[in-house]
Amino acid sequence: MERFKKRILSLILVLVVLSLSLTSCTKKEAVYPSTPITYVLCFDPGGESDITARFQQPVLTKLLSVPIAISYITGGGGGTGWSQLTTTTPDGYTIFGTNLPHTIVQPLTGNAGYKTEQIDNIYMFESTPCILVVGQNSPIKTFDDFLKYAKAHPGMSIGGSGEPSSNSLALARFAQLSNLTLTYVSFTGSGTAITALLGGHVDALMTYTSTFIQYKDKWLPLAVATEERLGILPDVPTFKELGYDLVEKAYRGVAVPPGTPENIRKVLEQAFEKVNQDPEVIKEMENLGFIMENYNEAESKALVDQLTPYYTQLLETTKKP
Amino acid sequence: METLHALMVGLQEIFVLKLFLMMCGVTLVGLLMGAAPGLTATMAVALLIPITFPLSTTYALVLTGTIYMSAIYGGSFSAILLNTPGTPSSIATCFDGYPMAKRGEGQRAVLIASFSSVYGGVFGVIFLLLLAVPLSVVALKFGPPEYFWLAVLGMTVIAALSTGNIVKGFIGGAIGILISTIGIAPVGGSMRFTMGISNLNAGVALIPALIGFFCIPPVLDMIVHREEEIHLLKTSKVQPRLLLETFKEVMKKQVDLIRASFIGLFIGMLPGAGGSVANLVAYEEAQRASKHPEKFGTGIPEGIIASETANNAVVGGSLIPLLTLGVPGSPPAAVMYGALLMHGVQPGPQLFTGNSQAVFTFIVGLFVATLLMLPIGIALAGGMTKLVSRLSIRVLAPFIIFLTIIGSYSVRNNVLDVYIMLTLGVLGYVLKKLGFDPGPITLGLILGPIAETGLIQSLLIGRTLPYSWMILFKYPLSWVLIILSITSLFWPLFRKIFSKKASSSQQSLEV
Amino acid sequence: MKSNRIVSVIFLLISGWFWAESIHVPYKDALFPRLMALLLIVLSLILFMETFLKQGQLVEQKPALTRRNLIYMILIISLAFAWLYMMNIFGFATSSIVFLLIMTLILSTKAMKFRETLFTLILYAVIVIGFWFAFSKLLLIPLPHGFLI
Repeated sequence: MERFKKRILSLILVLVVLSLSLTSCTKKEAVYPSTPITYVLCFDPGGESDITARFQQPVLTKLLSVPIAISYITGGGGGTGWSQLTTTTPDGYTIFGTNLPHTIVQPLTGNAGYKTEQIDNIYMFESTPCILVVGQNSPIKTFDDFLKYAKAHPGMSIGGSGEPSSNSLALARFAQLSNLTLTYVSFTGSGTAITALLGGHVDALMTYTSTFIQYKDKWLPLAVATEERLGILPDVPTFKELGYDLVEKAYRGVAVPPGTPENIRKVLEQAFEKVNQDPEVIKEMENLGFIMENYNEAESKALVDQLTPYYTQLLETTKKP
Repeated sequence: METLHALMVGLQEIFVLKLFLMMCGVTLVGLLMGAAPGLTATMAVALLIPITFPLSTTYALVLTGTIYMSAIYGGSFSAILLNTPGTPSSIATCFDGYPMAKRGEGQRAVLIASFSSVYGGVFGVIFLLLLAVPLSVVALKFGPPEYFWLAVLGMTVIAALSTGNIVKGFIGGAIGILISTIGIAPVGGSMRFTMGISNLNAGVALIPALIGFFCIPPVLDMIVHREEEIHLLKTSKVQPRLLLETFKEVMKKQVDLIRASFIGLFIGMLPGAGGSVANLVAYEEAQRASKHPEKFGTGIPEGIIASETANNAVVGGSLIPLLTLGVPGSPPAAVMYGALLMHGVQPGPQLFTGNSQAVFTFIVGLFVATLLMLPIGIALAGGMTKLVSRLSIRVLAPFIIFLTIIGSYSVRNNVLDVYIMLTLGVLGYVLKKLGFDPGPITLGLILGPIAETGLIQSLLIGRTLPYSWMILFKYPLSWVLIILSITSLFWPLFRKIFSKKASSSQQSLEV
Repeated sequence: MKSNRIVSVIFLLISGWFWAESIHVPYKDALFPRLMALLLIVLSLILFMETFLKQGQLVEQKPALTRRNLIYMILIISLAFAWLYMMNIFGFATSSIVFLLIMTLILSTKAMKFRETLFTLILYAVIVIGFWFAFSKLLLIPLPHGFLI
């Protein structure tokens, strides 16, 4: 047993020496970036965040001259990834996809593992506004029909993606403004809300424009939650036009951990600004129903500050017992 | 006839040397990833995405489909040789595959798995080609109430899967379901049972739990046997004849093959349920239909056939809603969805009926890939069998732990998942010794969210009815599932009563 | 089996815990866990009752776990947890090579000769670094990192 122990000890010593010589060079050179950057997405592959990132990736790689590696930290509706963001080394080599209103709403509704202020949004580059749609077999053909139907069937089911989410908050706000009794039914996972409407299991969907675009031959859009009518959907009235002050979009952007040095943040900000001007990227995104947005770091912070009281109040006033 | 023409064109496009070679390489990688416990088919497909991005749409589709199919098949190797499923779709393959390997019939078991996988894969692809659109209509009929009853049906499988005490089996299932409720509620979004540990907000991840429950207890068993024969398996001599014999043996069981294929196809078609459910349900159904159900679990071909046929049929099945509705039928299909979008292909109604050549080439490619994985798989499996049987436990056991660590970590890049994996592994071992099989527990983990989502969504939708729970009994499809569940649940009981009657009538004859 | 009795009580406690915890949660998210907790309570009670009914049943004699084996199992599992902890300090590759070797040495029935040990060490180093390379360089999947690789 003694010889045994001695052997193990000497072995470990050898190994430690060996591995010290294998240490990868962790000293980062002065110029950022000099090694690959990891772009972490907080949602499953195949989703809106993933698609956006994949379009951005080649352009970013060219702009920053380093490989951009996409990886996923999923779970908790994005919360798992964002709580990890707060403990990630702020050296600019790990950037996170970020979403609004998720990062505002999640900390408000419980222990999300992070606080809204800890998410340092560098750039918000696209959004998908909420849109109210019904299936082609629905008796509802216009927005007025919808109002009539809702009054006749209190508690009618309206599906959407996730809760709390942009979809659910849009519906909550709409119900508040219209005094209708609407039941939000949350669907998670890619496509389950879609099959619910296609199969007629719910009466309507409060979904994203990017989802609707794929089914525009099958579904009837009733209203969209933007300031003005969208170029890709010129015939769809806005909620505002119809008398309901509802503007609700899910924004997507990129963020870094708190405490990231200013020069790194500036480099990232400029890179994403350029990516967002790339005509290929713009074309592909708009084809899929995404709205290009351009909020740099300061503007993103202002956006968050502007939206937070709105959501705080909305959640307060619609809290169920 | 346009279809035929498109298929011919597709065939030509596939048999281009460059693509064909890439398919071979991808198949090999897929098999290896599928075989490694902890690395899943979803991961394999996801890895291929950036690599196929610069390629043409057709190439990207064909290659991702290839790796999907081969990864699912590869899961059987470690299930048979190491009693640890390579992917969650091969859990049931362990039940009969490993006993066979221990008897020295490892080669035979792998061959059975190979032929079954190819059969199921081809079956799924053919249905994808011919009946995708009508089948998608059926898939759409499944709403929240149907998903709930489907999950219930899945849970009744426990009744048959429990080799020991049925009550213990259901307790295991209930525990699995309760564990699955930890974290964010699927419908309401509130945080549950996390005891303030914010790392648990995302809940107990399924893959680490599966890896823990199925891969760690065998390792612990290995430790107990470390002093026994250095060789884990006794290899039988390699017989070329074995190939032909096993082929004939498998093909004779057409009923089993077809039944399992339909189960895989059907479950694959439903978004939200994939290979992990299909292999267990197919196994149970095979056991139920068999004339000697008690032999299941001792190492009979029917067990492997059921599991491996079903899980490969899921591949074709899961692509049906993807291509016809734009909704993926399984997690790997969801990743393929992203790939399609990146190539500017809009999966959905227009794709299939619009006679897009890429789709037909894809289907042909999938078919070829399925056949291709047979020779590559058999060769690889042969090598693996020899390798594993040469390794001693003192090398194998730590190495498996190594793989499980990598596998659990790579799911969410969260070290906590690996801790959970190890903890549940130890727990699983203890529970096994107490008579609680891991199968029912994992079934609970998988089906819990499906059941809860279905139930709560149904109740919400049913708010317009006098009592919201009435919606669970409103639709005929729900009733079909309810009746199937009841039958499945009381089947062991029926069988006992039935066999008693038969034996008592025999006795009266003898008098 | 007497163990069934203890186990069923444990499960009763567990279901009780779930029931209690679900108070903090809004109705629609508490419904399902409560139903399942109820189910578990019923099943546990059945199991408990069973232990009184089936008195004369043949209990399968499984080979008992020797103390020595138990120690080995606990040892290996503890090492696995230590391995994880070390990964975040020393890095994935280093810890893996070290712990793989330690485990192999412990599980050896006869003490391994020096040559054999060295060979195994090199083998492990090659395999682990191979994985490390494939994952972090080729596939760009992050692995646990410490200050070494």
